[in-house]
Amino acid sequence: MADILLNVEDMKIYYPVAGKKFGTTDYVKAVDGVSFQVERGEVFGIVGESGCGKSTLGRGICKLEQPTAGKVVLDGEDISTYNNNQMRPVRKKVQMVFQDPYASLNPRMSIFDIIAEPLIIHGLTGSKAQLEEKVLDLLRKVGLDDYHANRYPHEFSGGQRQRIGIARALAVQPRLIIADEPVSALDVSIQAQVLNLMNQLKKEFNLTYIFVAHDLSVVEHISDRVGVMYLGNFVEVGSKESLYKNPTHPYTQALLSAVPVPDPTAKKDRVILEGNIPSPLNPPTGCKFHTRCPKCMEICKKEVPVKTQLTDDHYVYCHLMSQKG
Amino acid sequence: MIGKKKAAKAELNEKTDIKTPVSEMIRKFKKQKNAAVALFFIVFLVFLAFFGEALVPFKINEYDYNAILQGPSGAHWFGTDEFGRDLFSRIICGTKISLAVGLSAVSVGAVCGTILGLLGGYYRGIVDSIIMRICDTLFAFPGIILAIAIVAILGSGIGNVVIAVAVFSTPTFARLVRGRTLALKNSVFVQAARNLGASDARILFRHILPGAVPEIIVQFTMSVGSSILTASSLSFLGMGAQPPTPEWGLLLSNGRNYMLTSMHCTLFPGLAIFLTVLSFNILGDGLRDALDPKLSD
Repeated sequence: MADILLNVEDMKIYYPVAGKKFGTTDYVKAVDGVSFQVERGEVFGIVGESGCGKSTLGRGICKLEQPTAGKVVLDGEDISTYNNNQMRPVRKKVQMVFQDPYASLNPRMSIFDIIAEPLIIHGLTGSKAQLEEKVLDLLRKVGLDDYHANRYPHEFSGGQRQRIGIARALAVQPRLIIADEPVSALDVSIQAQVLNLMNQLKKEFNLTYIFVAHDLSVVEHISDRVGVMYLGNFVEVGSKESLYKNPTHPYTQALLSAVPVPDPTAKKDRVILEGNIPSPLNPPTGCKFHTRCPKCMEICKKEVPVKTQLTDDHYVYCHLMSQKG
Repeated sequence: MIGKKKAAKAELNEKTDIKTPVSEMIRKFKKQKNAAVALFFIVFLVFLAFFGEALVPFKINEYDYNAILQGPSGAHWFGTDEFGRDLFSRIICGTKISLAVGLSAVSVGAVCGTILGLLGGYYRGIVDSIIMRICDTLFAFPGIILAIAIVAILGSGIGNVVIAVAVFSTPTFARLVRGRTLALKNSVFVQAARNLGASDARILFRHILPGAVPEIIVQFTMSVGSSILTASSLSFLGMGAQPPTPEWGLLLSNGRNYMLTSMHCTLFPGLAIFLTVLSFNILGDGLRDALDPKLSD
C-alpha cells in the first residue's frame, strides 16, 4: 500500500439557501460526496470548469469551509470533526496558496510581517535574529531579494506576490500545500516561472500538492495524477499519462479536445458540449453529466454511475464503461 | 551583525524611497490645502490649551467694575462682560475646556464603539443583534436630546457632559467599524490568516482593525467637532459647565442677555466655537480624501 498522506471520504459541502417555497431550505451542493486519496510526495491536480466545486473542495480539506459531511484523514489524523481551535496545530501540516495574489496579502503589512506571521503564530520564531534569518531565507527560496522584505504588497507584480504567498505557505514547513488556482491570475510567461518554482520547492521540501486549476495544460505540466470534476463530483481520476492519453469519460474527452495545440495545421476533433453547466441547486438525476453528454443513454438519466477501475491508477464514473466491463 | 543589517536596511529604504501606507497618506494630505490650514489652526488651539493661561493679559476671574460690557479696545481685544472680565482671556482659557471635553469624550466613544463594532461584525449572531439594536435605539434620539437626558440622570457638570457625549458618539463608531469588519472578514487575506492558524484576536487586531483605522480617524475628527458643539450647547442650556468657568457655551449663554447692546459678548465666543468646529470638519474632509484609496491622484 502506498504512503497515503490525505484520505478524503465522501466529502459533502452544501450551502443552505432560501427555498422557492416560503420557509423551506434548499441546498447548493457544491461538493457532493467526493472521495479520493493523495499519496505523500505526489501532485494531485483537480480540473473542472467554473463552479464545479474544485476550489470548495480544496477549502474544505483545510477547513476554510466546514464540510457538511464526510471524512478527512490527514497524515493519519482524522480532522473531519475538528473545530477552529483544534485545527490550529494541524495547520502547520496543511497550507494553502490562494488564487488571487492581489487579495491574499494584507495591504497594510510589510512583506517581512506577512511571511513572519505564520512563524509567530506557531511559535517557531526563536530569537529576533533567527526570525529575520528565517524570513529572509524564505524570500531567497522563492526567488526574491532581502531588500524586498520592507516593502508592501502593492509594490509587487502579480508573480512576485504569488511568490510571497508561496513563501508564507512554506514558512511552517507543511506536508501538504493546497494550491487553489495559483497561476490562473498570472500572465502566461509568469505562470511558467511560478510553476517551475513550485516544482523545485516540492523536491527541496518533500512537499505534496493538491493543485486546483481550470487550465488543463498547467495541470498536465505539474501533476502526477489528475482528477476531473463536474458539478461537485469526480468523473474521472487517473495518472497524468493514462488520463491525458486515454480519456474515457465523455466530459474529459470534451475538455481535452478544447486544449489548444501549438500547431496551426493540426486537425482536431473538437467535442463541443451543448448548453450550460446545470445548477448545483438542483442537479440532474442519475449521471449529472447526462444533460450535456454526447453519448447519453437511458440508464444515465436514472442511475448514478459507479466507480469503474480501468487500470490500477485510472478510474471513471460512467455507464459506458461500467456496462462494457 | 543585526545592527549592520538594520543599517543596511535603512540605507536601502532611503535609496528606494519606500512607500509605506503612512507616507502615502502624508503625501496625499499635503495636497489638501484647506485641511492643512485647518490642521494648523487646531495645532494652534492645542498650543493655546496648554499655554494660553500663562499668556493671557488678564486672569479669568479678574473683575473690573469700571469696565463693564465694554466693546473691543486696545486693552480688551474682545471687550469685557457684565462683570468687567476680559473676554479675550476667558475665551483663550476656555479653549482647554472645549478641546478636553471634545477629545476625551470622542476618545472614549471611539474605543468603545470600535470594540463593539469589531465584536459584532466578526462574531455576528446574538452579540451582533444586541449591539446593533442598542445602537439603533441610540441613533433614534437626536444627539442633543440624548445628551440632555443623560445629563439629567447624572446631574449637571462638565464630567457628566463628557460621559453624555461619549455615549452618543459610541454608536457611530460601532456601526462604522462593524461595516468595515463585515467587509474585511470575508476578504481573502483574512481567510489566509485564518488558514495560517491565527487566533480570532490576532485576526481582529492585526488584520481587520488596521483596515478600519482610516475610517476611524476620519470619523474621530468629524466627531470631535460635533462633540465640542454638543458640549457647548449643554453648557449654554446650563447643564454643563457652571459659572464662573469660561466655557464657550456658557460665555455665549451669559452674553445672550446683553446681545442687543453688547454684541461682542456673543460674537466672540460664537466665533470661537464656529472656527473650532469648522476646522475639525475641514480636517476630517481632508483626511477622508487623503485616506481614501479610491481617490488616487
